[in-house]
Amino acid sequence: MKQHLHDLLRARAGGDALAWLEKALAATTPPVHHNTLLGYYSGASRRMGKRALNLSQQEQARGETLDAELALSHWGADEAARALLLLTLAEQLPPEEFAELARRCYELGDSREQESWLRGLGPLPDCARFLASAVDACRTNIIPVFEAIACENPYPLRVFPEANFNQLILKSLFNGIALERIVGLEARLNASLSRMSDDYVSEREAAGRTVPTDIWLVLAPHIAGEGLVRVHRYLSHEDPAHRYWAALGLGHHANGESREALRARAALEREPRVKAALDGALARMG
Amino acid sequence: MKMFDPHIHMTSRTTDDYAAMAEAGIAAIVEPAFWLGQPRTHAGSFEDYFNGLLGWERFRASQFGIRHFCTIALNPKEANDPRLSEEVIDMMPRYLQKEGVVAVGEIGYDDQTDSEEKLFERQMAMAMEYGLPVLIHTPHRDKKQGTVRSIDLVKSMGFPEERALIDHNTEETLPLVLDTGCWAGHSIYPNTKMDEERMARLVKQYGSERIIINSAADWGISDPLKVPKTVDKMREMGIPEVDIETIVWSNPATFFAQSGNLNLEDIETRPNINQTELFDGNSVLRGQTPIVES
Ligand SMILES: [Zn+2]
Repeated sequence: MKQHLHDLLRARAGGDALAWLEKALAATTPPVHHNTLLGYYSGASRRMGKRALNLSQQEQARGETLDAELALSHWGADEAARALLLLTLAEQLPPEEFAELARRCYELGDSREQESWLRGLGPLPDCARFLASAVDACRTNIIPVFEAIACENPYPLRVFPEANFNQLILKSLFNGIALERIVGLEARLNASLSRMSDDYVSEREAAGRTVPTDIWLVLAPHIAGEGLVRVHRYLSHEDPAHRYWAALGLGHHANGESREALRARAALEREPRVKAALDGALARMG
Repeated sequence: MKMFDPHIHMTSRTTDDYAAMAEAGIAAIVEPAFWLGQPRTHAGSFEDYFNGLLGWERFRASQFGIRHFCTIALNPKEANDPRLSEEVIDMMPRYLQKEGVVAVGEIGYDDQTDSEEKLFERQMAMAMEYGLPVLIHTPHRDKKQGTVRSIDLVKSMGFPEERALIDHNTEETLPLVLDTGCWAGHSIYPNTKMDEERMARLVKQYGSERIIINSAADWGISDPLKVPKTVDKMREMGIPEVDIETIVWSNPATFFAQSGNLNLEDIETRPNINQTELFDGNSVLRGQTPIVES
């Protein structure tokens, strides 16, 4: 990954930016002066710019062999440079010193630096040791920082314990962040997430407010009783988005209880996207 | 008219203030690092304060369509506390390389002590090293002397005058600043410093070149709408629109653009709210791939 990032930057950056990058990388040779390194970490946005990497097909293919779930195309040049700096540092420093300095990069970062840090967590060696900072980032009220850990980022999928993962999903729903942006969500569906989402829908309905249409994806899979009846109701909702997500969610339902509801809806459904979702859900149930 | 308030401490203000400022036409602001009223006793408090200026406050402003920039420094008041000064100075280079930092400031004199002068000088040197302009606070007490001493320091250090903004001027100090190549700031306050009418009279006398006005609103009795209110007064007193526009937009923008961290084209438009951010309680892009602006 380190080589890949370096190559991506070499293919994009101008002479001054590259000269700066090499200087920054040279500063990772021990003994590392921490404040100098932190200065380089900060300076990346000014020096490398924030233009998205927008990978070519060939670059994309190479990236996928290294880590298929990392959305490198969305990363800015500054973010790639920061990740490269940390990966290089990880090779140079003893693990404890590296972890401390890496944490400082996060704690002292402005929003963009924190976003870069969170996006670049996955490729770091022994990345689970940074779990506490990643969970802390989920408490932010700065939405772009939250999105950097929650969206298009495989770290929560791979490292977050269930309780933290569920909180992340709930916070995404609260903030209107599309659940499709959560990497590997389907692999992390669980019963308490269904229960929490169901409570949230009850709260919204009681307050006479709208319900996020994609909530059914996380609510339906482990729901029973009243909650399941409600999902079936939304399967006929006038908004096709509700019908679509309810169908997808029911496709993940643990048993066949919803087969009849899905079949009945499929017979009436005119919207091609919803129809396809209903058929897909029925196929999953076999 | 689009306006720039180049000196306002939003950390002490409410979201109602942000809403009223945006409504009145304020599209960009600079928040200088300053004293919080209560003296800090740990250098770490500065770290969190600086982080707040660069993080949460910038985000808060963006939610109202206002571009937020800041300046970073150890302020003159707290420069007198030796428990803090060395450590804060030591952490500054990290901050001076961050985006959105458009000057070293507020630096300068308060009581005009030796340690204030020493730290004023050191921070001017840092500004030169990191290619940033400086925002110089002038004292309330013994203001004229403090302004003269500030100008002398700029000159003796060979600091590029066009990169220095000397703030909180009055009728007495403005001509001294205009005699140099430095820019002259004026803080329009409800009771002290300068009011709208006096300011308009100064503009009539001296014109608009290198003249800047601000509200310097903070945690004290102050008014975040003093820039638009002064615009009204200047209009009422017959000052041409082009001069008003120069004072409340082009001048501060041009001055802080010298940092390389404020792009003159970018600030012509409202901040590009990231498409993935909230719009009317919902993501603009529910279920689509977000486009993150470069
Ligand atoms: Zn101030």
